[in-house]
Amino acid sequence: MVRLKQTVERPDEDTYERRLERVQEHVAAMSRRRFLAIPGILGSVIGGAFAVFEIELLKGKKFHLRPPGALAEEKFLATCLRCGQCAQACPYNSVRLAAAEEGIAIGTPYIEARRIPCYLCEDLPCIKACPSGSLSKEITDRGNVKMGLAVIVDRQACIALQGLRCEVCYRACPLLGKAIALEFRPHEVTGKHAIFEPVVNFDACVGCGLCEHACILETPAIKVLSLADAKGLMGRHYRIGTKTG
Amino acid sequence: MILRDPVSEKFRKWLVIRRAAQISVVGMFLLFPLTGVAWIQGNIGAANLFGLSVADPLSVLESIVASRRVYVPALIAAGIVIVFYLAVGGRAYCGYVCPAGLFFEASSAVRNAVLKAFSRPKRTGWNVELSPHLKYYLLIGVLAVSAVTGVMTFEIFSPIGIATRAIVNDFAPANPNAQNLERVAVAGASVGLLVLVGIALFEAAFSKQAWCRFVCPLGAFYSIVGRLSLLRVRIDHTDCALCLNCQSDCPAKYVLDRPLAKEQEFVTMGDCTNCGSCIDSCPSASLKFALRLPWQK
Ligand code: SF4
Ligand code: SF4
Ligand code: SF4
Ligand code: SF4
Repeated sequence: MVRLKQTVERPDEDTYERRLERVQEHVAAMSRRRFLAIPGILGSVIGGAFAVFEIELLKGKKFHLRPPGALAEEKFLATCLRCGQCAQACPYNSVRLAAAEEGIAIGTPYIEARRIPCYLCEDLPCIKACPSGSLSKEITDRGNVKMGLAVIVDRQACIALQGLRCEVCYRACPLLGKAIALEFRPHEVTGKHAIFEPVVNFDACVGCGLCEHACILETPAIKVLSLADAKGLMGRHYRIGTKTG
Repeated sequence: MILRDPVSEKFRKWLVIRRAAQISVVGMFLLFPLTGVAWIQGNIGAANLFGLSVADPLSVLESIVASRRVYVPALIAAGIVIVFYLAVGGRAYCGYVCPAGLFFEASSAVRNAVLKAFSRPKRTGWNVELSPHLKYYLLIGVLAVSAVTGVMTFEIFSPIGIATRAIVNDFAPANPNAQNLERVAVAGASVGLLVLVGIALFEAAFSKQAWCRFVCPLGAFYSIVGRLSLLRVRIDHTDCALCLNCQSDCPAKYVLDRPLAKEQEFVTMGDCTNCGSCIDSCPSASLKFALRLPWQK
């Protein structure tokens, strides 16, 4: 401080008063300067329109299983805080956070059934951990989870449908007997054997992917698809008098 | 880290405190992935701190406009964070917490070292200065685009999210207590990191902390919070010699203009990060943190 005062009070032109004047002039000059709002607004509108266009292009790029209880995809992208707490809560490390290659879904949690499926925990710790409601707290019973629907996507590859004994997907299902059942019918070629066909019941399947994970083929014949991809919709005008439960 | 100010020769107390805070924040989020101790979970987007749910207020705001729905627990989690920064200074987030901020400060250090090594004294190198107002337009833009598309927009390119997930979620298995210890997140090992490195390289070459000063929508958000914050820098003119040492160290120099010109007692502008560099560098101890009520000048 002493050292400073000496330099300050030297009788040349750099006095405290001069410096204060300079600072005040600078403030006055800065407050006269106006930020150009028009180019800013114009730039924002153009940039914003471009961003909207890009995001719309990237929407719905590809299907991933979301963790249990996840809201519909468009609501999910609108609410998930990408905090990874669902992933940290999962005792199987099933939940991954998406990389930037996933576009607008970057950082959001997903499950790759073929890698580690969801084991459908009784207490659903992923849902409990979610702070944003993206994994809906309304789902408290694991039977009400609907991550997707399992579909035998390749009947020619499924070995059970070729008459071999497999049923691995059936055994892997946490809702065994309810979500996948085996339907028996005689093997038409041999006449003596039976075909044990795994059949998914869409009302019960939660889409956990345990079947897809367990499928013994190199590329699974059973896959979990999104509800939109898997489900058909009957026209309202049909009246089914013979409905079988 | 230079621990003494080269001009005032004072020990840089606030710099040390700040670095400690920045590193602890990262350490805090790494506690669970590295040790399995579940006291703190989550990342910079939202976290659970000893049972208290906190969330990034801008993310929550975006989620409200994007989903047109208010999820009360998330709103409370964001509210807690806002109240915290209303107390300690809005952009204190930038100075003490943000992991991307720490990374960009490192890029400034590289810039300084290179300039020192290769230039004559006083040369500042390439320097791009934009308007600090730009970030407010981006903040509005991010909210508007979120509202129109229904997708949380800042999260797509936020270097803060990318940096934090790269460190916290990509480093170790998400849940180290799980039966299988496969690495789970892939957020970091991807093109996302290029955003971060790209910004850092740009800053090292052309403009110190350009992202934080001109672009960051979250910085803009906290800048607004900062205008109302309680803890602010106060200037006492009795001993101030107007050496402007403080201003030369300040990452947002214009915030000191009016206080130095004796027009205000407090640094009131939101861009002040409460980093304390000015306090550290003042040779006459004329600057201090003090309590400011929102209407005080
Ligand atoms: S139900 Fe269990 S296994 Fe499935 S994602 Fe949630 S925590 Fe993981
Ligand atoms: S816990 Fe919820 S908000 Fe966090 S990443 Fe998972 S789904 Fe998103
Ligand atoms: S996805 Fe497969 S294993 Fe899971 S419930 Fe549906 S049928 Fe069962
Ligand atoms: S005024 Fe001081 S505390 Fe505020 S940003 Fe500048 S150097 Fe940091």
